[in-house]
Formats: sequence, structure tokens, C-alpha cells
Amino acid sequence: MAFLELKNVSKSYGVGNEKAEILRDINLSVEEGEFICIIGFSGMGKTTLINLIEGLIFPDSGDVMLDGKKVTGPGPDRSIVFQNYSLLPWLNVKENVGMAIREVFPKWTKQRVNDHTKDYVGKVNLSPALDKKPAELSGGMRQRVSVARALSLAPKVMLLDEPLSALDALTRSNLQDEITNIWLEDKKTVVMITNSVDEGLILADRIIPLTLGPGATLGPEFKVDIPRPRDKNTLDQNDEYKRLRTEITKYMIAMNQEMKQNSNADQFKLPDLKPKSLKPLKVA
Amino acid sequence: MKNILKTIGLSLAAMVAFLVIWTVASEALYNKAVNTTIEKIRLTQSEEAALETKRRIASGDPSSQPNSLPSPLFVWKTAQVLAADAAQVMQDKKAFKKKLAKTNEKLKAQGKKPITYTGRPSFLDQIFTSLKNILWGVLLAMCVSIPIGVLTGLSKNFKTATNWFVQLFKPISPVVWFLLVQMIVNTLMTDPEGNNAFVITFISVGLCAMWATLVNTAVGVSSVDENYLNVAKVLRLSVGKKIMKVVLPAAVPLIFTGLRITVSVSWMVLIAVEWLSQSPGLGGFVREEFQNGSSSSNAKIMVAMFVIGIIGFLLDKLMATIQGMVSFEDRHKSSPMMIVKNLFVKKQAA
Repeated sequence: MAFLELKNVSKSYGVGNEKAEILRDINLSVEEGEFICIIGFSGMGKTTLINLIEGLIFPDSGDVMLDGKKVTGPGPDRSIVFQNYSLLPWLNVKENVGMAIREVFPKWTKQRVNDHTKDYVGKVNLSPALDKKPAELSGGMRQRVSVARALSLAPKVMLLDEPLSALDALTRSNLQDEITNIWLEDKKTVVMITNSVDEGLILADRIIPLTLGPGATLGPEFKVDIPRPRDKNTLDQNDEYKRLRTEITKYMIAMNQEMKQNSNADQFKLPDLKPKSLKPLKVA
Repeated sequence: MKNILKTIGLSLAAMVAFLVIWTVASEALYNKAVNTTIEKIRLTQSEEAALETKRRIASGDPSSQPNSLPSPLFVWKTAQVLAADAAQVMQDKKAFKKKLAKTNEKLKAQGKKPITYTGRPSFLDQIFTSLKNILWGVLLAMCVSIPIGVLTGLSKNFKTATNWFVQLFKPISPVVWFLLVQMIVNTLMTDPEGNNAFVITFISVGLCAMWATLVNTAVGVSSVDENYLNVAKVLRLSVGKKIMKVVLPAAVPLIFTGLRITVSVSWMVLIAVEWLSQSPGLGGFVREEFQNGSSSSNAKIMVAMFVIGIIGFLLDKLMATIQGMVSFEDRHKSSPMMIVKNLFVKKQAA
């Protein structure tokens, strides 16, 4: 049995005619220490999937199992990094991270919490900003605080919900490197949601596309067999990288076109009307 | 720099225009009042009496001046008189204290009440009395409205149960609040030495002004950003911790917006309530001058008006500064307090 497993998970929102099926029959197994990227178009239920694993919401049918136990709510064995940082703006960096640590390790002394906080803020290279409030930080720095907070809780699984999507390209690239380095250090299990094929290829062991909704499910997986460390500068000359990139992109585009065709079938035909004359009407 | 000069220049120009209009208007009203007075005497008494009155008014005899809108110059002179009087009263108080120091010590040793100054209060004393009244009123408003607001924001049932109450009492005028509070307080406090007027004043002011804070607190608590609540969920905070560590801090900016409105409403209402409750303070001062009707009464009322305006403005600035300090949004980074704070922090770092 795999470390993290989703078995026939389905989820809908709403009731009656308003009911919208978001996810249907999701099956996923992740081994310990694996880095998984789930890739998909926006609005197709990627966040729903990660919230199911975190335990913020529950499936209508099917089970989410972690380490042989059913997930019944949020827990310290999973840490989540949200797309929009979710830092408390009235606390500074140290307090934001420290508060989470105190909640998860209530028996620790003040000194220990303090040292632990400094350690992890240092890991994301933010030590000079320990006393700054989120409003004084850039988007990339805020996301690093969020990553530090998630890491400091010593989770078994890290869940990253499009953590880099709101950032500019340069910051995004830097943070990809930082996430890789941190992951290489202790090889935690990571499930990351992304909308970028390149990002998946740089970071992940496996890339799994989420098909188009309603009732999205997981598509065929792509194994990324590129040796680490993956150097961004030379990666685009790697044959495996090129092959995977083309393949995944093709798959995604084909999926998109299929949906467009399907939705075309439902469209109403407009009557073929032409005005009799384009000359202005004479007013008597 | 250019902008600052422009701001100052435009404000000064408007101020001069205001003073000119005021001077012209007070002149016109004065002339009308003089004419009306003389005509009245001519009709009711005799031509000679009318001429005699005209002569007396022209001579500048203060006791025969008609009461109309005082000119800016006269108001300014009256303000100086009030300031001099305040200084005099302060000296009197000091002298009184010095004179009675020994006696009071003896009385204290005997376990009796010391003798305190009972002379008339100066204008300055009235200002401080009013500030004390508003401080107590705002404190009462805070103590009542913030807990109720938090409950309203947290519990739908509590909100449904109390909504009619809030809607019903919110629009009630300060005069009616005063009467209601007076009924209750005068029944409860029968001690002749008790300071009923003060108690009635601050309770009326507090009840009248607390609604803005109540509503703002309720809105702030019930509309906490989903992202912050997610943090509470992920960390599995207990209900109490969630309220103390996430919901309340997130609502603080809105609570202080409410408090700022409460303070300005309190100050507006305070003058009227002091007038009604016979309490000392600026409202009491205005009432006394209104009933006094001496030649300088109108000018004193005008001085009080300006002082009320200036203090109201300063109170609002104070609240705005506090509001800026407790807010965590970017736009407040340029508030005066933050700039000073940042300067200080940079100095320390260097």
C-alpha cells in the first residue's frame, strides 16, 4: 500500500439542479519521498483535490488514506501552502511561523520555538526579514514565509496549491530552485498543483494531468526520468525533457480541443439573416 | 513643497474670506438690531427716550448694546478675556491650596474631609470637565458595544434575536436618551452628595454614540478573510483561540473605524447632553452664557463654538492616528505615525 492514497474519490458542490460534479473517481497513489505535480487548467478542481487531501473538505464517496489511516480533518502530518500565502497580516514573519509551531508542538519551550522558527526562516533565506510584517514583503518573500511555516511543522506530506502561480517569472524561477533544494535535503513527500508544464518538469518525479471537468479525473501519468540536480540552463537540451514537454503539451492541447468540440455541439445555431438594405430609412 | 505652500495659501485665502464675510454680516446685523431697538422705544415710549438710547448706544456703553452676532474682533478679545480669567482662577486655586494646606492636613489627621476649592470654574476647567465626560462616555460605549458586536458577528442566532433592538434604538435622539437615563439614574442615586449630572451625562453620551462601534465590530467579525480562517482550520485552533488569535485581530481595523465614528458622535452629542443635564462642561458653559445674556455672552458662546470645533478636530485626528497604527493594510504605511516609527527603527539599525 502506498504512503498517500486516494481511492475512487468523488466530490460535488451544491444540491439538486445546481449540483456540479467537480471530481469523479480520482485514484492516486504517492510513495513516501516522492514529488508529484498535478497539472491542469484553471477552474477544474485542482484546489478541491488538494483541500481533500488536507482534510479541509471531505469526499462524497471514496477515501483519502495517509500512512494507512483515513484522513478525517486537517492534521500536523500534512502542511499546506496556499496560492495566496495566507499569512496573518497583523503578525510579523517570526510570529506567523512561531504561532504555527506553538500550535503543533505545544510542549516546546519558548526558546525552542524561537530557535526552530529562526532555523526555518533561514532555510528560505529570509533571516533579515524576521521582524517584518507581510505588507512590507514582496509576493515572493511572502510565499517563502508560507513555505517556511509549512516546513517548520515537520509534516509527512507537503501540499503546495499553486504556490508560485501569482509570482513574476524571475521570482518564480528562483523559488523553484529553493523548493528543489529544500526537498532534496530531507526528501519529504510533496504533492504540488501547478499550471505550468515546465515547472512540473523541473521539480517533479511524476506529472499527472487533471482532465477537464465537470467530473474531472486524473489522466495518464508521465514519469520524469531526468537526473537531479536539474540545471535550468541546460535542461532544454535534454532529450528526455524535450520529449516529455512535447508529449504533455500535446496531451493538454488535445484535451482542450476535445472540450471545445463537445461544447460546440450544445450551441444554438443562429438563423442566417441578412438585412434587406443597408441604406438608411427615409423618414417621411 | 510646492503642494504644501499651495495648501497653506488656499486655506489662508478661504479663512480671510470667511472673516470678511463674518465682519460684514455682524456689522449689518448689529445695525439692524440697533434700529429695531430705537424704533421700539420710539413707539412704546417717546421720541426723547429714543434719542437718548441712540446716544447711549453710540457712546459705546456696554450695558446698552443690543445682542446680535458679535464681530470676529470682539470674539477674539473675548477669547483673551477668558484666557486671562482662566489664568486668574488657576492662581486663585494655587493660593487657596497653599493657604489651606495646614488645615487640610489637620482635617485629614482627624479623619475628616479636606476643604476643597469651591469657587466658579474657569473656561479651561469647563474644557477639562467636558474631556472627562467624553472619555467616560467613550469607555462605556466601548465596554458595551465591542462585546455585543463580537457576539452579533459570531452568532447568527444572537444577531437575529437582537437585530430589532439595534434597529429600534440606533436612531434615537440624544435628548430622549438623556431623559431615559435620567429617569433611571435619579431613581437609583439618591445620595445628595452624588454627582448625578456627571453620571447621567456620560451614560447618555455612551449609549447614544456606541452604535457605530457595535455595527462595525459585528461586520468586522463576521467578514474575516477566508484565508485567515483557513490558517485557523489548518492549525486546528480551538474556538476560543480562533476568536482571540484570528477573528478579533482581523476585525481590529474595522472596530477602530467604528470607534472613530463613536468619538466624533460623542463629542457632538456631549454639548447638548451637558446643557440638558445641568452638568458643568462646555455645554454647561454655553447654557449659562445663553441664559446670562450680558453684552459679551454671544461672543463667549462663539469662543466656545470654536473651541468645540478645534477639540473635535483634534479628537478625530487622534483617532485617525490610532486607526492607522492598528491597521495592517499597505495604504497606512504613509500615515504620520508609521513614518515616525520607521525613522526611529532605521536610526536604531544604523
